[in-house]
Amino acid sequence: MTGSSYALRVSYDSFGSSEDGPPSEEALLARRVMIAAPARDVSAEAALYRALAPRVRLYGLKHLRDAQAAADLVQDVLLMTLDRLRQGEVREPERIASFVLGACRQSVIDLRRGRQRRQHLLDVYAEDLPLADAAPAPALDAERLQQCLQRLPERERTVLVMTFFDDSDADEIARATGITAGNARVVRHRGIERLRRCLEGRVHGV
Amino acid sequence: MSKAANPVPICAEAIDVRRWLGYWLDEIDAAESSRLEAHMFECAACAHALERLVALGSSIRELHKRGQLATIVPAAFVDTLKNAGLSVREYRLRPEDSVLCTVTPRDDFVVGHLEAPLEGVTRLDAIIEQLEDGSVVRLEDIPFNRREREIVLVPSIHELRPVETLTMRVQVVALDDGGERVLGTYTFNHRATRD
Repeated sequence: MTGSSYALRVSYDSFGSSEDGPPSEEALLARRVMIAAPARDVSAEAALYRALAPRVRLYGLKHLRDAQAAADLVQDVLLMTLDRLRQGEVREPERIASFVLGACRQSVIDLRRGRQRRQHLLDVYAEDLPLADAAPAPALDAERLQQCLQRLPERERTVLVMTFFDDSDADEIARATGITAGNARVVRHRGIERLRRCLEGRVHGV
Repeated sequence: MSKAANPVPICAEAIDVRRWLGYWLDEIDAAESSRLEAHMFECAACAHALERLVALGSSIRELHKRGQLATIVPAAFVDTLKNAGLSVREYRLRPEDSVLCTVTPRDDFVVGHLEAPLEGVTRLDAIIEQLEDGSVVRLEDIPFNRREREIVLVPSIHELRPVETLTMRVQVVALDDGGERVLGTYTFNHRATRD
């Protein structure tokens, strides 16, 4: 990504006049970051970071398939986003989520091209942000999950383990198990639904 | 702004878990993937739903890698484990075979390959008997790939490690309209490793 691809001018007039309804929480936070400049509204920055970090992390996990790379992407994209907001370079802050998605896409392209540019932003801003609790993954009770998995029908447990061990799609599962891809999807979905009900304590006879 | 009352917003266009899974596993086309991605970035509720699904998958993977799940897998999946750098101890048995087996600290998994004539078989059960305490478990409709001519048992190595002595007899049974037919009986004599 070139710097200019995100160098969009701020339009304060557009705030609150979105045709899609009232501004989101993230948009309000983005506005606070912008109007505080050149000073810093650290609490708005931290809140915006916390709100968007899980989505960036998911994007990173999906496209990079690596937890550390996804964590780096969170820092890269959100530090850059905050910097652009401070500089008044986000034209439509009410669409901050869309801006961040675009930044994610471009950053992943950059990463794949081997370009790195995160160190400067990290050096300047990282100390002020609550990075440690920025993107906590939802916690699951491992013991309960183990019990629920062991109570699944064999076929469903096998398909779920194969699916998630290395993110195998239905075609790969089908080839390995000798069933059709459609059947693999059905078994997979049944297994997930049964697991969810078991984890929520809604079913005892799984 | 109070988050305590409603920490997870509600989505007007909630995405079904099947679609999120299709997105996550790259089973849908690029246009649909982009649409779901854009929705996820705009919608905290859906981001949270996807995050829970990803966390579930990650937890299943971790439980499996730690050897805490007993499973029956296709033989091809054993190669997947080995290709991932995991150490797999393997035992191969023909019908009526008996084998001495163990687990060492270096092993990530121990698997039993049970050879069986699977031609024409549509459903298989496995009856697992533990001779020490007489307990019997019947696993119904176990997964198998007819082309592989074997069933692969992956016991929980986590549960097996502390066991000193265990004799396990596995009977593989085919079921069809004519009733049941035993394809083979296999005996594992487990002894703990002395280091």
